[in-house]
Amino acid sequence: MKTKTWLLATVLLAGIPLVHAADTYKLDPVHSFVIFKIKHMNTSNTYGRFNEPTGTIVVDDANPAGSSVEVELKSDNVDTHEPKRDQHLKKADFFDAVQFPTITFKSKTVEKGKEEGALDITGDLTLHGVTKSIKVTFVKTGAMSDPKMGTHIGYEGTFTIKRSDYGMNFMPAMIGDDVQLTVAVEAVK
Amino acid sequence: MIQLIAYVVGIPCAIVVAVLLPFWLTDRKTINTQDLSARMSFGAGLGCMLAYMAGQWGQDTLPKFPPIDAAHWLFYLALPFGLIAALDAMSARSDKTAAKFSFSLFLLRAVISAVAVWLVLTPIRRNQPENVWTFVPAISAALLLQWESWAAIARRNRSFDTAAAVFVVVVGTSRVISLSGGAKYAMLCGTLTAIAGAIFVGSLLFPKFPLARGMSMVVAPLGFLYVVLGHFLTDVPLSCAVLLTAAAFAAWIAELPFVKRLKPWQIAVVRLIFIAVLVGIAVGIATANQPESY
Repeated sequence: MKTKTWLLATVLLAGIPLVHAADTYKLDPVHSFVIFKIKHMNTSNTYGRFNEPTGTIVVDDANPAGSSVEVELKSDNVDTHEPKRDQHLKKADFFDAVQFPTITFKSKTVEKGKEEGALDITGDLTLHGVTKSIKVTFVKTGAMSDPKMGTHIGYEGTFTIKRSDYGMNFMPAMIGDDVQLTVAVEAVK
Repeated sequence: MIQLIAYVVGIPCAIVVAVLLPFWLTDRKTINTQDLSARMSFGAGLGCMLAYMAGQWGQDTLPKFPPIDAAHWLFYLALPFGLIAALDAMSARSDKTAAKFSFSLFLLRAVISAVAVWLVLTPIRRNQPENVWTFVPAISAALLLQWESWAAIARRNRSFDTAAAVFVVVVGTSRVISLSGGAKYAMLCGTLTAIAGAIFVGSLLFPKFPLARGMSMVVAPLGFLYVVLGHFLTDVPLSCAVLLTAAAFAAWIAELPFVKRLKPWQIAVVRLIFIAVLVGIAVGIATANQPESY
């Protein structure tokens, strides 16, 4: 009887690592970046970023479908290293921060990507009041665990959207339609 | 650039002409002058409504309903403004119908003014809910007063005088918004300028027809709502918004006894100068406050 009990206990304990709980991480706004690139007058690329992104990443390594991502940006936090241009970008000609104060991304499905640690994420990007489904591949850039600092994970992905798809169609001759976005996040548990 | 000019000026003006032509060509020799005048005013209102909608659609997009962008409400609000223009034209067929319709038109304008301001200020209502009951009634009342004022001015004056007055006010509105960092709204307002300009030219060619009466019922409230949007969503200073609103009432200077004694062309010039001075001050203030270029 004792032997049977021990065997059962051993089997159950061995099974514990298989029953994974997903890990929830919060975005570190200081070490997370949302950078955009857009063509100016069909000549050069202008870069900008949205400071202090916030959000949550749920990572389930054993079952990627159980993972999820939510990122929120404030339109008012657009930063192109030129305050006058930033002021213009916040107004009705572009991001219209009074009407559309936030830009959000919410994942709907997460699948394992081709690369090691990569995740193919399909979700809704809401920008300028318009919501569209996009697909982004995020690659794991690293992870670190420290008893004092907690567990940190890093992901990065690049994708392109058309600003006109989101109703931002002002000055099409001066400013390109394609906007390349790089999202590089560090999240902490 | 050519495409933009087409949507701001070319297509709206062409639509105004295309809508007015059949109204002018059909049975014009068999119906009485008052009926033809009412019909042309109706045609002008309808033409201006369609011209504005086409201009906004071309420059921006076909707005979804219900709109998510405050400016997109203006596309749909052009419809009730066009309805008012149509009813106003019908009421002009005789003095009897004018008297019968006047109070109903006032009530309808009051309701539409309140609804229009409520809808256009949706994002501001969301951000400043505590101030809603202060600024929404005040702005609705200003819109109603201005609308009534333009209706009365159009009834009392020659069509090209009214068209010129509306033209100067919307040109000023567009310029002030442009100087205040709202190029998109300025171009949409530019469509109103083109429409008012087309009606002014039409009024010079056909001075007997009250084309400006129909036009002012559509263009004037849209112009006013651009001032409101310009103030709340771009950097149009409050002083400029007040001056542009006041400029619309400045046409009443022609009713002062010492002005009334002047010849008709002198009255028109005095009226235009007075409006232009107020608009000019607004443009001057906007220029002084203009964000630096980058």
